[in-house]
Amino acid sequence: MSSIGASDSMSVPRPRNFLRDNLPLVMTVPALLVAAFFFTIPMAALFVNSFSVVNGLDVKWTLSNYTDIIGDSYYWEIMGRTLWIAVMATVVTMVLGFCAALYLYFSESKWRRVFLFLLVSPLFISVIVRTYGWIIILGPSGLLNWVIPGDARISLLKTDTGIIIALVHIYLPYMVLSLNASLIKMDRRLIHAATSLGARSWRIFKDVILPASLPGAIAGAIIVFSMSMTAFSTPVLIGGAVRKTMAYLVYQQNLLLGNWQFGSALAFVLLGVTVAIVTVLSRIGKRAEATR
Amino acid sequence: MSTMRLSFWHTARRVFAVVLSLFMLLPVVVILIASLTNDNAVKFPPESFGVRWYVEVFKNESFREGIVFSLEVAFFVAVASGIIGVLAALALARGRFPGRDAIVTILMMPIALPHVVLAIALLQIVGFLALPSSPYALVAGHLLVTVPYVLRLTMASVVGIDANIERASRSLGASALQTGRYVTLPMIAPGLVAGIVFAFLLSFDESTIALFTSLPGLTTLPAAIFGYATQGSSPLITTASGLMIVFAAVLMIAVEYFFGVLRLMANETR
Repeated sequence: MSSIGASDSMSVPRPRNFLRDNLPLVMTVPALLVAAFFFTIPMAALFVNSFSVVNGLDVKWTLSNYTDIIGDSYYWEIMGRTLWIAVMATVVTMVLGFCAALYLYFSESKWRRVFLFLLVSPLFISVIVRTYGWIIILGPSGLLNWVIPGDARISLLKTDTGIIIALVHIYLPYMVLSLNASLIKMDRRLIHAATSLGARSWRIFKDVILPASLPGAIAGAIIVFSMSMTAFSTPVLIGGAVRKTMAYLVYQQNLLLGNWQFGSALAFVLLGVTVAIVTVLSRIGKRAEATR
Repeated sequence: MSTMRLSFWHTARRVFAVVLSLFMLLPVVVILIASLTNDNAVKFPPESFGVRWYVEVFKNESFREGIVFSLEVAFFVAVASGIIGVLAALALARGRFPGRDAIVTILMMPIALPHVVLAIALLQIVGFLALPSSPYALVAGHLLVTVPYVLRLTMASVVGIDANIERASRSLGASALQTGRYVTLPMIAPGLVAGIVFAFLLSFDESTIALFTSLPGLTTLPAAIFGYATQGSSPLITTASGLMIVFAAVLMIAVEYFFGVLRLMANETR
């Protein structure tokens, strides 16, 4: 730390002391140990494991875990459903989040802070609890059937729509916060200038607000998409065994079937597809910003 | 015409804000109402009201154990990530040493990765070391998720303080330790406390790593709720969820008191 160094130089030179001289580095050691032993090493081991097949005590190094996944239409179908759910959740969250962020930006109502609070406070409540709330709402004897008249019992449980509704509810706060962070950086005078130069609302939105909020929109889309792709408890509890997603397969292979090598490969396929799409999204964002 | 259009948009905006607020509140309100029932099955709206299931949930062994175990794990994780985080934050926010940016990147990376992947990676390692997954893999996984938050919040606080105040303390004869204890720590306290409370809540709420690493008798409340909820809804799960909501609300008030919820989440200064 600079303050310690400054006063030390005034006193009589002390003998070298490794701990004192490298204090900043030493202070990061506990955090680095956590990162190394709980993160880097386990992830590396997981990756290495995904290239092996274990038969009794016999370990064989092979690509077959990956080729088995790619060659089986079952996994394509489930990856397709996972992608569909994640894309829909992202799109709906983006539309709702945009409207909410615009409201927050322009509103001068005394309810504005209450609205913001209601939007972000669900983050404090466990995902499992929020998901369970949706199970009560969407289930056959839930709120949905009470509100919708008629004797027909409808249930959105075990449907993709049900999963998407719950995911939108769970991830909307991240989108709103992300868009909000971008919008508050926008200079309000830009809008006044555009208005006084006679620009219509639509043009102000297209040429001023949209470009200014783009970084937040891309960041929000990346967060919501990657979390929806890899969400576990919400799709499992609402979709059940009939609407499986990739995260459930990872769980099933590893914990239920004990097939750790194949399960590791599935995890990396899920991670790879997610990272690939996130990379494309952030490229699009960077390009759009550069050509502005 | 134009005033009519204006008032239309004004009303539309309000309706949107109200509807979206209701949507965000809905699952929480539904759970709280549905939990206050004496019915034998979950129905909404409930047919009778009462606190029967709040008594039953404490008689249920797996939920009672879950509450205690969740609190133990969250407490340990919060304290540990507070210590680890504040040390790293002081060093990283001030120090200019080689590899600083790389260290920040490595420390922040785990929050970008899916909990499903973190959980199976940790399970394979503790399996290899022949350690039980709970609480070792569980605590390790939660630390991965909470340390970055403590680090980020505390670093923001450290950057915000004036180093001249510490220099003044040192030139007036205080030792480095005294300066840290009586000058630096009080100034970063709000950010640190917010980080620790947040870490507690993240660990208490987390369900995926908790479920993957759960063992009989060593299952957190969210993991126990998940286990029951795969069989469908039941009044016991509703009240256990209700308890988690009440608990989150209490901690939210604590964050509001120390730091301001909206300031923490949305950089709101107004």
